[in-house]
Amino acid sequence: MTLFVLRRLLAIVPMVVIVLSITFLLVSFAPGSPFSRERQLSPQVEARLNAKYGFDEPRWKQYLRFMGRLAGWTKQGNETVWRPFPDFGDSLKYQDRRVSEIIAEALPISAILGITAYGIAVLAGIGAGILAASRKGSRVDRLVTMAATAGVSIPNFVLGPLLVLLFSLTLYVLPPARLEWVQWGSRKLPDWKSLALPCITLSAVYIAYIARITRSSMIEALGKDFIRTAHAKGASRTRILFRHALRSSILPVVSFTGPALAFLLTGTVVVETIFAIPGLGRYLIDAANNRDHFLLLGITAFASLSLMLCNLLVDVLYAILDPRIRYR
Amino acid sequence: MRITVILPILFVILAFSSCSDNSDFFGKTAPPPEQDLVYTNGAEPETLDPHKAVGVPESHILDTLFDGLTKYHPKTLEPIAAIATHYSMSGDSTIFTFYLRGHAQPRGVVLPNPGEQHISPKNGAQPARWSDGNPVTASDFVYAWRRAVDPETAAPYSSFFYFIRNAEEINSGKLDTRKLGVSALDPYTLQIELRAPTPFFPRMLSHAVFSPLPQNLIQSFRSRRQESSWTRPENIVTNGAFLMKEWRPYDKIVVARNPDYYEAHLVRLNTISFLPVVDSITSVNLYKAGQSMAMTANNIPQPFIRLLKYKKDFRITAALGNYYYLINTTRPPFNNVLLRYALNMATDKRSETEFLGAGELPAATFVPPIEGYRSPEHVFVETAGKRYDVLAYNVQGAQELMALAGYPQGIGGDGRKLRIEIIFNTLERHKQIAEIVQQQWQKNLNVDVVLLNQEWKVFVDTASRLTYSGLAKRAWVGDYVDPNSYLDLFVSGSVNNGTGWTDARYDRMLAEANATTDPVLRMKMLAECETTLLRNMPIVPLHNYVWYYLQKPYVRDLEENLLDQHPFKYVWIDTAWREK
Repeated sequence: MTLFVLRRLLAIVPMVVIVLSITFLLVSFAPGSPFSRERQLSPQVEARLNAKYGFDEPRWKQYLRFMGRLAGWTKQGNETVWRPFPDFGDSLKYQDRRVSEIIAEALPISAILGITAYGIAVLAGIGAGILAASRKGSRVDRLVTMAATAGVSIPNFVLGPLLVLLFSLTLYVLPPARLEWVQWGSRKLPDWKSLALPCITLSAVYIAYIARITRSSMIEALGKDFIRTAHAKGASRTRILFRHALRSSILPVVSFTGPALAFLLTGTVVVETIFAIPGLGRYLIDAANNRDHFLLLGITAFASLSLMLCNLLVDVLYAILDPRIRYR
Repeated sequence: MRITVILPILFVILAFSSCSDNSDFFGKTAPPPEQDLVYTNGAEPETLDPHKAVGVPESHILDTLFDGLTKYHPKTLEPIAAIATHYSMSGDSTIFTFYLRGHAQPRGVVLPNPGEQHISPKNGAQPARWSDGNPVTASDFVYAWRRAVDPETAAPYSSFFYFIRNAEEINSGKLDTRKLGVSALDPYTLQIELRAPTPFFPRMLSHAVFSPLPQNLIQSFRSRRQESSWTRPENIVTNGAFLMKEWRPYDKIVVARNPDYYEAHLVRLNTISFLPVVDSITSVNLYKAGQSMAMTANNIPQPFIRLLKYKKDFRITAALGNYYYLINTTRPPFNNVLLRYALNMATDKRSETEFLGAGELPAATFVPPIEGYRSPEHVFVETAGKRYDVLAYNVQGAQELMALAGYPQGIGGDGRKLRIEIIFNTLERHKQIAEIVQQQWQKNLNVDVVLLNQEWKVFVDTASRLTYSGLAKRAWVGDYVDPNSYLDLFVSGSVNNGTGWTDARYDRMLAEANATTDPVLRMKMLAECETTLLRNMPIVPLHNYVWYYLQKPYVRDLEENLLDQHPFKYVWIDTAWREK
């Protein structure tokens, strides 16, 4: 198992390099310059900026310099020094700030939002799925199925504004946008009220998917022989549901929630825009629109890395949950 | 009825009930207990370096942090006293001398100051101070302006300084920055030599790019090769009415009252929080819920305008901005001016502004309305023995000109309909405007009009590099309240032309007009320049902008003006205000 994890961790490095190389090619061939705007810069100013960021050099040189920086080589004055961490360079749009700084500020915000939404999705989704499966064909089952269908069908850019209209602009009980921060010991954390609507909006679709997956795999599991055996042995209903049926039917849920966690952690463009939350998603969309090459590459690196790590986590969880799975 | 049906219906009814409120105002109106303004400011600022900032969001924040020689008058935008209290001008308008706060015997014209009736010795004789305690001196201006034209700085607005002697040569790397025509005669006297008479020069000086900068601070960061770090909240040194307190990117920027400001007694707000909210619906939501009190202009979804028009806190005011189509005059058939006339004459601009619905004005001419300036009402051209007013909506005339241009009934020599492309950046509003124009031209001229949308950066390159055929959308907001802010776009060498049309005669006319010291005569000459421009018709003017925004009734002295620029130091909150 340890060897398996180590091997997978090592494999992540070339995969990230490949992802970044493809992204680099895409952004460098994308039409439009990072410095072009409706109010044009003078040719001299644009040439200076291109020279400053190395865009006047051939693409292979730009690529090598970028990869060198990722490996830790940075130019300081006229010297090139090596440091044990990657350097993504400066943002082209937010001129006073470095990409690593932007990610360090925005990632925790996206992560708080993502983890909370993920928690809600997993708890509510699995709970609703179990409830529906255990009362198959009942009113509760029909309600859960309908709600899940609605959850999957209503996109978050519709659900978010509807929730805002109801809770913020009609009942005035929750803020319509932005995170408010409260002191929590030595740290500042978002206030639950300001987190509520974005988290519900974000988690709705995942709740729906998880509930549907849980319900169908639970129904399948509940019809199996070992459940009948457990019944025959006199196991309680709760024990059968949670101990026997859930454990065997959770694997499809785990394989869905792994990548879902990665997407939730690294920023969700729509929800962050609707609720004006300063997470990675907003930077990503801005970076793409503004051809902010280095910021775009930095965020892509983090997004791909977290996707791969979450997939690895799913594989490890498989082995823990299902005794039949062994990695070598 | 089943609960699964009732619940969604209830939800929708409840939600939509919020649209039909009968209040005179939109949303919450209870003022905050303290003087803390929350302002929705549009995009996240790219930088707070006055030499590198270009957007309106940045300019709002820079107004609170930096004072230049002058500031904008809250209503008229005319220059008012800031770091300078007096100025004098040589007879030929080429040398300006500004006397700064701290000068013992300032001379010349007293700059108006709406806050203080007079610049008294008490407030004028004390120098303004940087937030590190140092006095703001003329050499801070000299340093800043040299930096602005230094090619190393790559300042987007460096061309603003081209009115100053040698600025253009320095900016293109031909001269040393020390050759710039600006000098500190003594610590509190600044002399500026212009390259040609420019009587409207003081009107440009309130722009943030002309701010002084803290020389020692920037130099110390420059020597460590971290020059851009000087604007970070923990480093920045400012001289404005407010101090940087907090900057949480994409969340908020908070500035707090500067107790050592030279007019601190006039500043009533304790803090201003600028919220970077781009999404217009979010911006309106925050306002309705009372979480923001005012907003930057035109950040309201268009469908809301008709509903909000009846609210007392919805404001509409004229803007120094216009919307027009560029015509690529370098490619046939649009190198034929008759065809360009025909397009303009076949456009009913009124129906377009009726659709927009916020009070936009149909534009027959190029320069938006500016006090003291009159755009030409007609431009007559004679061709084939007939006289046409090419600014008028005249379908018959347009058809005749089309025929003269080789497209009778819209059909070319090859027997096919003329095909016209209009490109715009992907946005619903631009598409709708283009569809109106498309329909009009197809009906009036029997031509094929093709609409092409492009992603923003691609569009900007296409339009500026003249790689489009036909027409391209352009919207322009003036940088200073003067017709030159528009007419200047079409002089030879302008990077913002976008049509390929240039004319040495036009360049000369504009230069002569700008050098004229008599303001009335100058405006007449500028109108002649506009007539020349419209006689060549490299554009199709469509409409003049208005600014529209929401502002809580308790926010006071945040005045409406042509540029959506506001000296926030005069703004205050009427905490005792109550809705009757």
